[in-house]
Amino acid sequence: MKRILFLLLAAVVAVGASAVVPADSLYGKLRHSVGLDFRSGYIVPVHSFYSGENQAGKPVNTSLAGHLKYAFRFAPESRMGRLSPSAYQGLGVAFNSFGSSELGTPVSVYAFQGARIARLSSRLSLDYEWNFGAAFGWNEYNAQTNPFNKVIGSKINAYMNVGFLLNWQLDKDWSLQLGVEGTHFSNGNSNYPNRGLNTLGARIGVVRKLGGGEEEDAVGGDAGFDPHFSYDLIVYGAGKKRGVEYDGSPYIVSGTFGVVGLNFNPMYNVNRYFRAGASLDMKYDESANLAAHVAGVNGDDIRFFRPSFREQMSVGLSARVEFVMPIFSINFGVGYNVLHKGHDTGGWYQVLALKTHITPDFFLHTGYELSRLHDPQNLMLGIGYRFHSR
Amino acid sequence: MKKWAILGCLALLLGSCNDEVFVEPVEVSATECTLDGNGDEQFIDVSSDDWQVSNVWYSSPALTDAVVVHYDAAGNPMDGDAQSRWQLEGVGRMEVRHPLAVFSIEHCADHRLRIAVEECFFFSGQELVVTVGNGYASQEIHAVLSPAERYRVEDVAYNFDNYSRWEETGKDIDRFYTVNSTDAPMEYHLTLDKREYSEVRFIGETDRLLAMVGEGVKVAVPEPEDDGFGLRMGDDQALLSSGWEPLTPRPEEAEVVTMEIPPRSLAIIDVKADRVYFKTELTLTATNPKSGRRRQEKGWVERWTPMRFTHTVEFVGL
Repeated sequence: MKRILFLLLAAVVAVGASAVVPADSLYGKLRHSVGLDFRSGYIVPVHSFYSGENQAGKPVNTSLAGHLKYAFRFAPESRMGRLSPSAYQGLGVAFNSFGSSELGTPVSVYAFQGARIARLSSRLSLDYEWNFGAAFGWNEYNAQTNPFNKVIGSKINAYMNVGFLLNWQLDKDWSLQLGVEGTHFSNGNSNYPNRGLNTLGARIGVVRKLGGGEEEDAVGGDAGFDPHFSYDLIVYGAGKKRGVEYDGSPYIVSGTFGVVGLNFNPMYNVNRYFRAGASLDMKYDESANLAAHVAGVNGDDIRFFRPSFREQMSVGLSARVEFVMPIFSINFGVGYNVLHKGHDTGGWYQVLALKTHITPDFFLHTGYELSRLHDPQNLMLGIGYRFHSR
Repeated sequence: MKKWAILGCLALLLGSCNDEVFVEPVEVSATECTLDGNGDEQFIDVSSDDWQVSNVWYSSPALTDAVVVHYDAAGNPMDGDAQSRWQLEGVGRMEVRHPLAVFSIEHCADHRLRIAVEECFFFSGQELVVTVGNGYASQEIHAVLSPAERYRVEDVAYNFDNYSRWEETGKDIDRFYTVNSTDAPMEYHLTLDKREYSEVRFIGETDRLLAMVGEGVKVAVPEPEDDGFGLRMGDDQALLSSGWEPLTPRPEEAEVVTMEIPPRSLAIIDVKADRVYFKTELTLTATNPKSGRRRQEKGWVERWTPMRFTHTVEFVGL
């Protein structure tokens, strides 16, 4: 399961990296840059481990990271360049330290994208940037060797980051970036424990353009854009761990359960950067409503009768918004399961997904579902196809 | 790129199923059945492929003494320590043998449960509760072994060539009292019937024998020759019983002793007998009228027979 998660996340990164395509009217001749970031953050104490209940007996509250990044922009005269002149995307590698040997020093590999939000002056702009990838090399929980670490349950965890930056163009080649950011590490419930690690912090970095090139002032536009409906059909799957409470005792169920889902997103493309709509969400969760079907317990080993298909299947309706950038789109959704049976498959749910376009119509889907705003559900790793795109 | 993405998703779906934590519920095609004690079998479908006979409960305390033999899937008898007495792990059979019932419980190769009874001689239906399960789920099957039809005795053959015999003399067998309250002597007739003072019982597998033919069955029994040696068949019949039973008296063949009781006196008459005992082997042949099965059961008959009576009289004045 961890291997497949890694491969799919790597695919997202690879797609971002593989967009070095021959110059054509869509992308034009790409503009390249490299960057170096130093980031420091405060680790939000979501678990007593961070407050000092660890082997060292000291709070774990500081994160440090050094990032090395490669980015590219589309040529201003290209179609993408005209539509998103300030957008940049690329690959990054980060070396993380949390001041705790119990957590380790993981290395993150990620795709990122950023763009200007507003130009504040001729040289200063307010930008945003998101990072998404995987962090490798954690020291995970182990009852014998790492018993206090009840926050990180796997060697590989997903890495998500969003930041808001002040971008100061020093000269035509160099720029300085200062900003604030938030970061989240977790494994999407593919293993236990999974409290994760969250930071709030600041970053400072420099970017060097390669190959020269003038700064584009184009604002970008919707010229020629015709608002329309498009329809995304997504199939996804994931593995998840499950814990149940039975007879007053908690049990971690052995093995990994499968989740399969189908989403149909009809979206109205308001402009090139934003679309909104609804989604019909169907999901089968092999781990749903197990607590009502316990067959028996043998020590720590708990067994179940398989719940009926209806108890593990849900159909929901959600409202979706999607922010569209070159190659990547970020989709948010809030929904409610209108057809379900049992507690686990009912209620409100929330979705955050990254769509990575391999072709204009075909994309990878990397998402996460939360239930009732606090119950982590599952990753949503899949593929999608867009009908009626323009 | 597209192809690898699709293959990755398929691998994700197939690799995440967690069959190992799920167990099948155990469901059976019937939770109750009745088996004809003359010979019957019932097959019960069990939904789970992985089940075993985890327990057999029985209503009769007598079955506690039953011999239980386990057989493996190939029909070979298994070591008594290899398996718990009332459990069957995997495919196999347990045969339960008791003098009054023979039945078997089998986990068949096709994963059905087979309950079979050869014969059940209990006088009332015997309840079995067979529990099948897979360690997490179980089901009980309530089976009733109905009593078999009682066998009809066709013939009882005795061995006259090899028997045990001994004698006993002067055995006190009875005492009589009679009163003459008149002023004249009174004649009194003492009737002594050998059959009334004979005792017969049957020994050997009598529990089974008696259960097989039922209660109240009379069979012909041999009697000693007139000289007390040798055996012959006469008209005597005795109740088939494991306890000493008298023969049916024949007053017309009884010995009559006449005596005079003095006036106004009480007569106390003590009767003694010289008796002969013999024990010989028997072979009883009986047939089940319903199934037609014929059985031969062996046993022994014992008989005390008075050959000669003596008596003493004491008179007590009133």
